[in-house]
Amino acid sequence: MALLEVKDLKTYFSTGDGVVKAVDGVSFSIEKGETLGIVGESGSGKSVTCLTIMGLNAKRNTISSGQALFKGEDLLTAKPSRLRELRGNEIAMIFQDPMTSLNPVHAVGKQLVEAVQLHSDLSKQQARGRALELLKQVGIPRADRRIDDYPHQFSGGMRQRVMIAMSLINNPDLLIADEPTTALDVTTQAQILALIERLQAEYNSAVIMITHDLGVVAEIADDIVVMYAAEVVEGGSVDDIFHSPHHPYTWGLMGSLPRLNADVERLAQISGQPPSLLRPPSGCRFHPRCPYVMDICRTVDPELKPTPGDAAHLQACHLDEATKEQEAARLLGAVSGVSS
Amino acid sequence: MIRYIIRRLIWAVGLFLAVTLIGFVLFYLIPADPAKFACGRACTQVMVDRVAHYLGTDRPVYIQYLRFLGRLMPLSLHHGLHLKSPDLGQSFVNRQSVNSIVANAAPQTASLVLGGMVVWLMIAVPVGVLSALRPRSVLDRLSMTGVLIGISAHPVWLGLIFSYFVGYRWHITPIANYANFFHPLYGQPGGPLQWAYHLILPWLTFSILFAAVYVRMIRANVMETMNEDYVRTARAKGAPESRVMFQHILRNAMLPVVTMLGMDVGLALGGAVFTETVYSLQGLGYRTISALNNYDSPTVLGILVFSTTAIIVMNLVVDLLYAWIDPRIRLS
Amino acid sequence: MLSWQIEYETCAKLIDYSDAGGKASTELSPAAASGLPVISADGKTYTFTIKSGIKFNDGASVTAQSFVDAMNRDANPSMNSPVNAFMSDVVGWDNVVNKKASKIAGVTAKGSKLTIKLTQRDGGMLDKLAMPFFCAIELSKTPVDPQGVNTLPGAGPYYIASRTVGSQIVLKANPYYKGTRPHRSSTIVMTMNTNAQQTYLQVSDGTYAADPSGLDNPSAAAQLEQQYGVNKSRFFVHPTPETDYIALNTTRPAFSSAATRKAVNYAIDRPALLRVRGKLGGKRTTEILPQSLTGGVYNQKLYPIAGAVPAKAKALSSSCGNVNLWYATGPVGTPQAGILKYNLEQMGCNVTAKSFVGYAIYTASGVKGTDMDAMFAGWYQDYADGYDFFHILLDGRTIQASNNNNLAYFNNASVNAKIDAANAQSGAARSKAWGNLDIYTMKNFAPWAPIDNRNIRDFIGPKTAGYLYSPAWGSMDLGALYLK
Repeated sequence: MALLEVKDLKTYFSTGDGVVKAVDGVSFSIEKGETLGIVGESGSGKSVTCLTIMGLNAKRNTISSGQALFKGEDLLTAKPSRLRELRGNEIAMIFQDPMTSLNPVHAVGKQLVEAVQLHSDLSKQQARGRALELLKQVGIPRADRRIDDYPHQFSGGMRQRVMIAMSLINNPDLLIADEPTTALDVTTQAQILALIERLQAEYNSAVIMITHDLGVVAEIADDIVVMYAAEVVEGGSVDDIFHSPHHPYTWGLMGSLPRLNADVERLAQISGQPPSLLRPPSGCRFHPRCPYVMDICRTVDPELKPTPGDAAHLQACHLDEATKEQEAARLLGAVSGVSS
Repeated sequence: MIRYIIRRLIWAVGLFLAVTLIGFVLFYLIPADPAKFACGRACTQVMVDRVAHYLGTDRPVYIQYLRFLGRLMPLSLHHGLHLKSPDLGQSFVNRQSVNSIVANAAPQTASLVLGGMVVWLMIAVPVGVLSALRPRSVLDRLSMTGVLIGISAHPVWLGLIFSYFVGYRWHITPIANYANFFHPLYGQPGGPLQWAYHLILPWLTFSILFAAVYVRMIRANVMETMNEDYVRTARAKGAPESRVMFQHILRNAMLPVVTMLGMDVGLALGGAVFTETVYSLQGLGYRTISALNNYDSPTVLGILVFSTTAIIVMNLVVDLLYAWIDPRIRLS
Repeated sequence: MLSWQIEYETCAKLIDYSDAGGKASTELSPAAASGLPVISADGKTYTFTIKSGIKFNDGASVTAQSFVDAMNRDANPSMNSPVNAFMSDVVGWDNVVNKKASKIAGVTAKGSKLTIKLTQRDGGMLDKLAMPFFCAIELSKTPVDPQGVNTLPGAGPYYIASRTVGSQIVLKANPYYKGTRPHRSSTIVMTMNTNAQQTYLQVSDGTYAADPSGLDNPSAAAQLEQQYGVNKSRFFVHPTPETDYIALNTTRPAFSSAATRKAVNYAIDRPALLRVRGKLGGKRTTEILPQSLTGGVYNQKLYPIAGAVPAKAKALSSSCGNVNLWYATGPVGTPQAGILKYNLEQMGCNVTAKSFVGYAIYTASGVKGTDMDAMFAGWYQDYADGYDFFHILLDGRTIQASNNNNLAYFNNASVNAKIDAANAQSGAARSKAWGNLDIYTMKNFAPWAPIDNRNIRDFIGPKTAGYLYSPAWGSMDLGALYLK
């Protein structure tokens, strides 16, 4: 049984202007100890998917349906009290912006201790010991002295280390990291990713890594789900996605990777803006930006189905297989200089 | 921290000098002769001049100001350097020492304003938080209507309505007047219970405007804070809603409220005059108005000095309190 | 004059107004003195004999020296007493005020005899001596302290047992008082209120026995009259020695002619001007002095009191021109200015109204040579003598550069001479002289347009009884009140 299995997850927000379909029929699963990357542009529904799983969306004006089975237990129908037991204990989350994700008026140690005590009967002293241990593990220098410092006394990278410490402090089975490195500078990004990878191995947690940066998931993910406009457009193993991407949007994402080799021709940049989720385009939602658009794309929404010959590699595109293979090969030649 | 306090104290001295100087000059500009008023209406010019000399109002304004400051200094060079208590001077009108006028009036104003603050926070915090939790609910709409009424209603009108119905018609509270907390006046009720009993209506009247303003502010703050990332973090940790509310939302949402309280102390002292007048509380506001009507500049300036000092001190207290509850201020 | 009423209750004066009520209360009679003073032939020396047996509440006796002490204290420059304005003709008084002497040379005590020497004849001196400044004091317990003292031995029916400045005064009965003045309550507690409306409610429900400063709630008067009647149970109305008037600036073109000023007296609508003060607010008048000061020489037919007669006004005066009307803003001042503006325009004046706040109008109008043509004013007697009106308000020889009380800037040699003549009189002849001067002045020169003599309207609590009006002080007699 998968650790987490998400089936046909939908999250709709009703607003004054109409219903925003933020997540519209998303399915994926993740095994124990595995790393899943969810990739997509901002506003593609990656974060809302995870917040829905965690039960952290505002209740008002939000409708969710589908299933999110964690160890067989549907999180969407679980009682709030049960969700509270799971959150921070078995499922933990790291957020995008470490500058705003820590409470400014409490010392970091206190916030860590709170995380421990919410899920255990440890005394304050014991919880503090545990907090100190975690701060050391995430590489906070002189942790014993900094434990009583306040968030504003830490740099962004250090705060994200604190957030990681807080998320791992109860040894969770699943860690959801929502763009954990986006707000950080490049050097720090690498350090934080390495830290997550190391601690994942140490704690044997499954990790869902949400990012808009394929480069990040290439490093650490086992499987990848590509989302576009609230839907999954392609999913599969790292190998599948990086060596045989089958969706024009994925190609575009790969084209967005930073290129170290300036001689290589820039390819398949995605033009235009992501669509409004209030009034998504008809047919394939990617069609207005797709360089390969066909008539059918404008009217029929392609189903997410397995690639012939690779049942684990899912994709949703009307292009014929031959064209996909051909284009993927051509594009990969261009980006291979970086991805390997 | 010490340097911060010293900096604030230096600023306070500057503010103090500015306020008293402006007060002095304003009085100098008023086209009325305090000596004429103090002398009595049947006085001839010679008598008025004599009174002016006695009061010192025949001296140039800067001399009057320097003498005023000299009296205020806690040091004296007279008969050798020694400490003395600051002297606010004497009323032009009834020759009372302004120190004693202030000493009699300040407790009434302090009771009204500080007690009123407690009352308005006791109203505003729960109502503001509940409205923020359930925006557009019946409670929210009711409280927002109440806010509108509270902001529009003048305290004198409210005071007259309250005392007529609650005091005169229904005999629930006294109609007006103050009961001393410690030493009751002769034949008058006194002591903590009577003190509070007599202050019920004044507190309500005084608080309603501020309660209304604060409900709106607290509601907005709480709604804003509820969307903060760290609140989501707290929920992601598995914190129950009550803990999220008190430890994470309220603590942060109250920071601007504390700042506002510091700033509103001065405003509240000014607004107290209406409540004081309508309930016969002889506080600082009422004394200022009656002294102004009598061109009694020493009394007005004395109250100004006292109020300015009180506001400066309270602002300092609020700043220190703020530094205590907001660690970001503490170290900067 | 509430403070004077309090002092009256706690005070043994040489001579005083009786509080028997009615007409007797307006006449002076000996109090601590055994009789009216012996006045020397030249009118400059007054000799009082002090009764024995009058005691302060601590048992000390009142002596002639008690009065010398009181006057020396009054004149002390650090006391800055307003009484100085009236006492310049006591020998040596001004020397003390001007720090040239420490004791008033003209005031001496010898045994039970008190002698007061004057620099000139002063027919109003007895009335002045009835002012509360001349209470016997016990020097050892009444120091020269400009801030006043919080407890004060008294030799009247009461003494001041405690005082909290601005908040409360407690009067207690003087155990040694043997006189006839009423002292029905053993204790009188006076609380200072700041809001007339609330005070009205508190008297209404009996929280307070009475509000001795009078009803300050014009709209309530009509209802109280209907509910309780006047001078019957709880609502009392009495005239006060006060005159409200319009001063007409005789030095300005608009009102330099007596004919135009008389015309104004026809033009003004006295009932409308008085109505602004509410029901029973006062009594319309066309004279300068309140009736109590005229010795019965009183005429209310000089000018119309029933309303404006603009036709007659126009007939009297062909030219009025531009009029600058000054008034103090307020619930009375503002509407009255509107009425007067209309009245003056009806007689052909071109009126520009200018408003002032509070007392500033007196400071401004007291300066000689301003462009003020007409203004509202009022005068409450300091002591019961016409001199207090005529000398202060209408004697042209007192006009100075600023701080004038003669707001009409009226200076007429014949009136000045008649003021001196009346002031030389004493007793009943003196009062009649003032009454005649009043009629003479209004008939011939009309420097004022008198409007009314104000009433005091008193409202007492449901359990309060014994109401007695004290005309000399224009307020209720506190010692007479008691609770049923």
